[in-house]
Amino acid sequence: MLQTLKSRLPDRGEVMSVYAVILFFLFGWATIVFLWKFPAWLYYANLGEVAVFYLYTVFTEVLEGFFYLVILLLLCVLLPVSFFKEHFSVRGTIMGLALPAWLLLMQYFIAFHDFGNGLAVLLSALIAGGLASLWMWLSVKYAIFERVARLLVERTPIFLYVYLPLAALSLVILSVRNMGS
Amino acid sequence: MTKPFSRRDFLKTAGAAALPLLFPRQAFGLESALQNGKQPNILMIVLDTLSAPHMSVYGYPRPTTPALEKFAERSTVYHSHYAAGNFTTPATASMLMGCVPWTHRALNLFGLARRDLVGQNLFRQMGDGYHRMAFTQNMLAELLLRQFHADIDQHLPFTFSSQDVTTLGISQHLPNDSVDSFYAFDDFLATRRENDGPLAGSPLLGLLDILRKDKETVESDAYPLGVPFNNYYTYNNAETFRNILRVIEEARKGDKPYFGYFHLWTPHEPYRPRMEYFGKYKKDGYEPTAKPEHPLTETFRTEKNLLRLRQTYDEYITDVDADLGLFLDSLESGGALDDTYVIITSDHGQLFERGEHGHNTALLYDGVLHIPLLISVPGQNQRADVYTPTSNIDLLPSLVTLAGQAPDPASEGILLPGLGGVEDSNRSLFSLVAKNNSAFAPIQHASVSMIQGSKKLIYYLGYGAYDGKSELYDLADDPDEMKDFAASDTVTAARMKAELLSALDESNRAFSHKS
Repeated sequence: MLQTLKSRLPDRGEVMSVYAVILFFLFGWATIVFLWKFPAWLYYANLGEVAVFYLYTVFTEVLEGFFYLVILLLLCVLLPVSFFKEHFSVRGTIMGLALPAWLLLMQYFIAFHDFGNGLAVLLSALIAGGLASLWMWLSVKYAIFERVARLLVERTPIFLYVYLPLAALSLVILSVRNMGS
Repeated sequence: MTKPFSRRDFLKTAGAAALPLLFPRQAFGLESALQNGKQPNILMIVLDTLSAPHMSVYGYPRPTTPALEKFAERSTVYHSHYAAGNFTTPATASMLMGCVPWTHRALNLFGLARRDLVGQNLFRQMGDGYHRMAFTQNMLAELLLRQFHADIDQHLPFTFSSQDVTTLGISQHLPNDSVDSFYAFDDFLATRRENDGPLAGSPLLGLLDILRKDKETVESDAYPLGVPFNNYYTYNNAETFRNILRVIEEARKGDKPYFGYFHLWTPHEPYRPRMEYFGKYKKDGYEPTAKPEHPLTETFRTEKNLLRLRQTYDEYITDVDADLGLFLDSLESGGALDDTYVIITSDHGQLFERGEHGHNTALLYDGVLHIPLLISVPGQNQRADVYTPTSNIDLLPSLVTLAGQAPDPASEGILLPGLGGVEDSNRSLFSLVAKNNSAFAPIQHASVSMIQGSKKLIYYLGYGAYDGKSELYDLADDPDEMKDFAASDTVTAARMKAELLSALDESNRAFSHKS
């Protein structure tokens, strides 16, 4: 059973590469919002405190990235090997970007357009899912679309050397801050 | 360098010395309260955004506060009591730290008090001879309580007495780092503040948070405008008072006397009166003075719109007063009023004038600064009235003294008349809003109000074309603040302005290297 499961999962290198793409997206988004908030925080928080906010951000995003990765690995198990596992670098990358984008779109429709939850879920799923499907289809038809995905999956792992040590540091510091009576 | 012994220091010392002389324990039945060897309990009820000019106990034509009128018959009623800030953060910090916002520096929306002054908080100064409890439904005040968390024996959760919670509230689950984790999670990663930022920083947490938002307007037959809501959860005022009663009844059984600080959201907007109060003042013939739009107005409401909002606000106050009345009756029937100081006040008021609705504004007119203060001393059975201007910064030294402790000399308040203080009509009371000024820099963008006797000066600093303007009113003759005589009584205006600027300069000195 375990052997069958393992045979349906991509190799560790591919998994880490796709994880790096997910983290690249999450950190990119978090940084945009962080920089939006930063000037306001400086009105009442000192730099040390802002650094702590960032440590919480790092830790959260690393965990959240892991959540999306688990979903992708589940898809690997559930979907035909020839469809997903064998193209994990490209299709995992596309899905790894589509999942958080879907959630952001949902928030956008609820926050800015007062859509009901059901409509927001449906519409955002159509947009994110549609774009992801289109990219997957185009990546089969035109090499450039595959190259874009490969570019991401090959280049973003370098950031893991920043994200993961930073996450480990966050874990230590935040644990200390949250310990005690 | 030794600080010179100022008039304020004299008043503090004289007031403290006069306490036992002026108010012998027997006069208000304190003897019985102390018979069991315990100091009296101190219960502080803060109703957020309760403007004294809207309360019938202070002469408002609409009968908004009959229960408080009844309570006033056994209390000291402070008729000219002022908040030191016009929204929760600065005003509550002033109340709990005994100093003006330019000192504690909790200036901004969601701001914090100066880290090096946190130890000045009321809870620490009450001493561990008291069982110190605190609860608030206002997140801005909750952040301050979290700063003082180590000095609070029983810090009730923010969601205590809540119904439908509409946010993840992650920081509440991280009590040892609840301030910084609030900004990380509840102000950034999970929760997006209205009109602030693109979306939440975390797609997943942001979605989980926003999916709870549909609980904000819970429809109910009892509440035609929706169930009361504090931006984070829905609640029921009567139930909240019942829960508070339960907590204090439990505390009364303890070995120590208790000090309870209960800061309710209500009657803050959204105003959601129950059906029996909704429409109570519609077409009742009351017409407040119409006031011209102010250049610094931020909400630009029409007079008609302001009248409608005022009506609903008044109805909500009446609703809350009914629940408060039941609460006070329960205290009385349970004998709590015989061993407990009961203090009822607010953090700030609310404006319905000059095109402005709300309190997070650059304006400092009486509606937003003049707040209620009623104090019932244990066993008190007659009414007393204090007309001299007093400030919410006076509560800290007064309560600390009641608790048998010496207030921190850094406190800028003085003992309240009626609690051992002496009336000083020449004293200057300052209130300040500097919400767009860095808490770490000299104050250069602010509105400052100074009340001295019946005179009130409002000075505007750093508002472009309105920079350096001042307005002067005589509250005794003109409580509506319609006749600005800054241009005609230049002597008074100049004298008050000089004193105000001198105080501001002194407060800025510590930050001048950052200008």
